Amino acid sequence: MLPVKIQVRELTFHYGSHCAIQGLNLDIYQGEILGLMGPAKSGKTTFLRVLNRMCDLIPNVRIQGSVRLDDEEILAPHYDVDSLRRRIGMVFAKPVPLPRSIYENLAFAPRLQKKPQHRDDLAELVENSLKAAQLWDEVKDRLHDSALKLSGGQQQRLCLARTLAMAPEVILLDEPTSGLDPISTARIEETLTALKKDFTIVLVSNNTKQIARCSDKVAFLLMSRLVEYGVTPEVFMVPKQKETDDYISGRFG
Amino acid sequence: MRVDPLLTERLVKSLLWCLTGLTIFVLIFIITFIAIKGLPQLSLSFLWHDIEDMGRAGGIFPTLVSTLYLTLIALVVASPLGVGSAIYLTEYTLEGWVTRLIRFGAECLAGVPSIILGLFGFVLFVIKLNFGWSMLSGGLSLAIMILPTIIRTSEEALKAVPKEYQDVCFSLGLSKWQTITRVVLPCALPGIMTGIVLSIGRSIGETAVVLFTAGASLRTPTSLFDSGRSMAVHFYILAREGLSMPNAYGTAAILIISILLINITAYTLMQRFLRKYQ
Repeated sequence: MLPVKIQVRELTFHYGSHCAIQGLNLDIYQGEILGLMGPAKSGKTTFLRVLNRMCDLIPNVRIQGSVRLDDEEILAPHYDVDSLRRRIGMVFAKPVPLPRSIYENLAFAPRLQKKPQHRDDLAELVENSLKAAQLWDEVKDRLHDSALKLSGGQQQRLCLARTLAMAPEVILLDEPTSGLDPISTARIEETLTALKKDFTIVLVSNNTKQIARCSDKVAFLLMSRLVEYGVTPEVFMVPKQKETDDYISGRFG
Repeated sequence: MRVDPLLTERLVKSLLWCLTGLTIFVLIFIITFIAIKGLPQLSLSFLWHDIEDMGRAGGIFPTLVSTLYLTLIALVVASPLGVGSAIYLTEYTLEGWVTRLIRFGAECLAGVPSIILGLFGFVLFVIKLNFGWSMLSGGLSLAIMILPTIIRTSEEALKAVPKEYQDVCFSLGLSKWQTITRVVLPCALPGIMTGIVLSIGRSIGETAVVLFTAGASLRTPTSLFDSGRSMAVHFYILAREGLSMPNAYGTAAILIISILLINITAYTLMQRFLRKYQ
């Protein structure tokens, strides 16, 4: 049995008076891909944003419950969120390369942390991260070109590489392939499967087939609640709840 | 009766063309007028000589120095204040009645007639703080004048930076200040620079504010507490007292040329900077 990386207990989240997550209990195991699925507004993105405390940026929110990373409470009021976000990286739905060169996109955040002391180490970190995101071969000859010139799929892999360069422990992906063509999607999925031995991954997707292909465990959220959680093949073959069955067979959502 | 849409289209197009043409015409007219009257007066000695006989003879060197002095002081004071306020308003507060009040205040300040700002500068800096008619008083008053422009343009520039950039930076564990200095400000810099360049133009051309606060001394100012006349004030006095119209036009030509040069330089620098970042 793999160790628990993140433990969520009785998590409730409000935007003003609107409840986005209600009484969520969930364990995320180290070295696994957890797939989160559910229709729009079911609380998936909110849940990701709680895990790296990006939810702090939204005014008027209320969080209750507990989220423990390696048995350490991350919802504590004075928790160092900057270092938390270095441990829990995030890739957004829309690829957002910063308006800089490919190299700088990867190098600028680690450089600010003074992680690799030496310039050559930094170059090596950039190379390794690009290789891990399976982008290296396509960009190795133009590292100093603008990142904005890359195609959508390449940009998303760049964003993944940028997250990897921070050497996080957990990677959160918020519908990373929603704007991509099938070939780019397949490359991202391949990359994720290769990465899970080193990282814990939480993958949010509207695409149930993607969840079925990539994830080890799956959680189904509906109307702010966790409806079903289990090992991926089991949930897809024999869902325990009727709502899950309806959702994965496409009767709603 | 129905109007033929194609005809309307053509009419509207030519009408708009005329309006734009008229605007450009006014600009070209002013510049040519000043050039025809002023350029013949220009020579190196006009630039490098002291003012003689109240401006009837000699050059305009002291006014160049004064203008430079005043504009620099105004910029050094107003740019950090303005950009700082804009950063605070866009990044560090939530939109609410406080920000609306501050913005409203800045807009009111922008609407204050320059002669009143001059009077205010006179009362506060020249009399109360006892700086006298000086470069310092003039520069500070100009700073108050250009502050609203810098705040507004910087604010718009900062707001135009995609929110996603900040999300990315935060998700990489950057602090707010790191995010602002490394990503948000570089992206907003062209817009901020536009505001600052506009302000430089206004400071150089401003008459009423500096007439009241920097005085109209003919000498070349050497310290912050020296009085001196800017090019615009010199032009105003020469023309109003009827001392020397040719020299007045010469000064006007220099005034316009320097503003033009500053705009061109700033634009070129900006292009180079943009190329580096994209």
